Amino acid sequence: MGQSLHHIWTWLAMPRHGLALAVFIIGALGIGALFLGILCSVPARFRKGIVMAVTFIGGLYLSLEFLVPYKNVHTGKYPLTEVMPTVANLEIVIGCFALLLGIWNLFQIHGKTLMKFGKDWYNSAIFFLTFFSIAILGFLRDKGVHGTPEMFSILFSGFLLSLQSTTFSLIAFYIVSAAYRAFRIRSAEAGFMMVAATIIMLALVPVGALLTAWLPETGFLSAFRLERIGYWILTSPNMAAQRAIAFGVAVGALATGLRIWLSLERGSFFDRQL
Amino acid sequence: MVTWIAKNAPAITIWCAALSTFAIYSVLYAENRFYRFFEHIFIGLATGYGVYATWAQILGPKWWDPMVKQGQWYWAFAAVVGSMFYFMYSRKHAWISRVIFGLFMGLAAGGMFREFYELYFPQIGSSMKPIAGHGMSVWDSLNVVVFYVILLACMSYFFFSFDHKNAATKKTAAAGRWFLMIGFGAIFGATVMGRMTLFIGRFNFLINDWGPQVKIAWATLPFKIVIGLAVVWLIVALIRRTKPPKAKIAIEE
Amino acid sequence: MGESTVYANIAVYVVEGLLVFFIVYKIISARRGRQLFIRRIPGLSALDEAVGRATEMGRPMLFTPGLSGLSIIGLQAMAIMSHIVKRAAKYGTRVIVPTADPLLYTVAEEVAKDAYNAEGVPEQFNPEDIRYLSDNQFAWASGVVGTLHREKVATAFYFGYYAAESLILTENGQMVGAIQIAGTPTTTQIPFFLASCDYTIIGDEYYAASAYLSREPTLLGSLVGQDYGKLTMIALIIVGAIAVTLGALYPDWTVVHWMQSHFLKYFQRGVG
Repeated sequence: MGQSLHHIWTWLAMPRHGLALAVFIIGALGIGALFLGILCSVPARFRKGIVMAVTFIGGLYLSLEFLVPYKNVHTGKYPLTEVMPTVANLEIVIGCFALLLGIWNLFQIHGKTLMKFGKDWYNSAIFFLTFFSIAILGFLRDKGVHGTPEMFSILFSGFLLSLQSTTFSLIAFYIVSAAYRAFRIRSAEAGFMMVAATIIMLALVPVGALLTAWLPETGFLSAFRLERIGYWILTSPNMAAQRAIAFGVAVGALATGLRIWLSLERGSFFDRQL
Repeated sequence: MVTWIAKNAPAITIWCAALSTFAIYSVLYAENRFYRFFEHIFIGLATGYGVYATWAQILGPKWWDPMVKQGQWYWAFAAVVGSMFYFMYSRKHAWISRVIFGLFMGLAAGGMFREFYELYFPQIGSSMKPIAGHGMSVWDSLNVVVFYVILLACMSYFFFSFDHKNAATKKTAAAGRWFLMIGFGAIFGATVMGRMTLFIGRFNFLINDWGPQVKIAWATLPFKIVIGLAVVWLIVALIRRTKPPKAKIAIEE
Repeated sequence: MGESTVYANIAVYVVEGLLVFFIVYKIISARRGRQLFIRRIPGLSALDEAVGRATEMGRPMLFTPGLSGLSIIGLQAMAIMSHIVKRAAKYGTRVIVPTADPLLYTVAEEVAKDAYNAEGVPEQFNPEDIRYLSDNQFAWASGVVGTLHREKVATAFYFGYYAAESLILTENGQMVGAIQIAGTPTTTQIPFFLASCDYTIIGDEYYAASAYLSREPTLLGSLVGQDYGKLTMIALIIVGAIAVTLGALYPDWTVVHWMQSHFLKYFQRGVG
């Protein structure tokens, strides 16, 4: 029995080519459609149970893989760990199918504006233009079509990368205005935070070191040199505070994960009747 | 046209990058049409590139190629499972999308035990510091004591089910919050220089890469005309912005 | 894979087992009707006030889950969003939700729809207010910046996973004069939220939010269980500190050797 099952499994897993491949793919899609059809006819009272079971199984696999590592004595390998890359691949591949959900939303919003020639319609037009340009040029470039690598590079390096790094660099301006505001009008706590920030900032630049350069480099007074104070803040109070947050977050994440895994989570999304 | 673009691609790329830089920086003054236009370019390109990259880096090599080129037909089931997301648009069968969401949530939650062990066990371990020992000075010991005081005070701040009415717990938690501020200040201060470097990078690009291109373009008449028109447009826009419309004045009178 | 991968050891079973026990035990006792106390969390108490402000001004609100995907952080953001959308639905205020993950976007749409239904105003739900912008960090951020300005939002909520873009969002929120409340378990971004937001939820408070806002027994029980979990960790560190101190002072003691081989070795050192 076991051996014949193994034979069937090996036969099914064999790579196919040509017409056989087409038949098998269509067959798989047909079986999938049948499976979805069955799901569609599941009575309402069983639906929540199915969702809970699937959630539990998803979590159970990763939990068992770590908590109860089963080692195959013959091969010396861990079967659950061995299939991990395949599971991760599957998760990534299936997750990619959801990308269209988001893009569909963008298309709906911009499509509507464009069709109505509404306010700022040209922004929606440029959205579509750039969206299709870079996607199509990307594929054409991979096929080696003349001129496409350069055009792709203009869009990618000229626009995309530049827009990315410029947006990132905006923080340089905002960090200054945020610091100024924190000193001016925020709470005493924020002010206190900024004092610590100033010390660290000065400690990390040569100017800061110069400010307390008159203090000796050794002995008791050397502890008051800015770079030393900065280093101490970073490695002692800062480390302790960050650890405290990390431990709290760790327990919080574990509790939330546990509630989700065991379907104990509450809130409209989790409570809704299906 | 394609050949011309291909030939002049480096210069065009630099000009596009400079325009993008100015467009994004213009939001520092106020949100405006220029920014808005480039914001949509940004989203369009990022999403379009996302689609291309998803196919070229994930779906192509990990799904389509194994299925079609290597004959692993069973990958077709992934498409069936992936299609379950789209049931959310069905009023009657929207619950089917919950099945696949449930699977993803389960997988996200299931990794918690390993994550806790790998991320936090070493941190618990390195928080176990000796208060005294051979070779440790008084200052070293004091430093460790300070570490423990701050750690425990900060952790006490994050207790939610104990009422902070008791003077000791109240003061410990309050001290914890102040200590947390020192920690946050340290993060803030340590980040500043890195962020400044980013701006310097953009500035450097404008001066060293775009600057020479401007010099080359300045030699041509069309460029001078375009710049002249742009300056006039900018002045008119600024005047319009600062002068209140006449009709409004008339109403006020 | 396999030999190089680390697996659970006795310390994992004891420590994580204790944490799970406390959380589950407290959840069960809370569900049986035991009254539980939760202290006031100022940032979360301000949520309703912030919703009220947007209503008074007749301007929309913005809620972003940051760069969160369909993860524990993202799902917690959805729980908080559900509360905010319900409040907004009650007062007839718009909530715009720009997301950066297609999976979370779909969940957000469901959560918002359910929240409007729960308040009995399903007609108020506008699918276009739940938006997917981009999964590119800064493209998403530039889209949120544009939304903040164009929609003239009165209140902005930032709950979820954030990276460097946090300050870009909140500073533009300041520019439009929005009241801003943020919460993230990402420690490195908390200082920037503190400097530019009106209220900031720090660290673990983020995970306490759903329990605090909903007062749902299961979540409250879990929160109390978490406190016991944190006490366990404190106890662990104190015992560990005593063990390493004894080890440093009296390395020849038998008890020191025993502690080293039965306790300390499970907590690898060297991080931080």
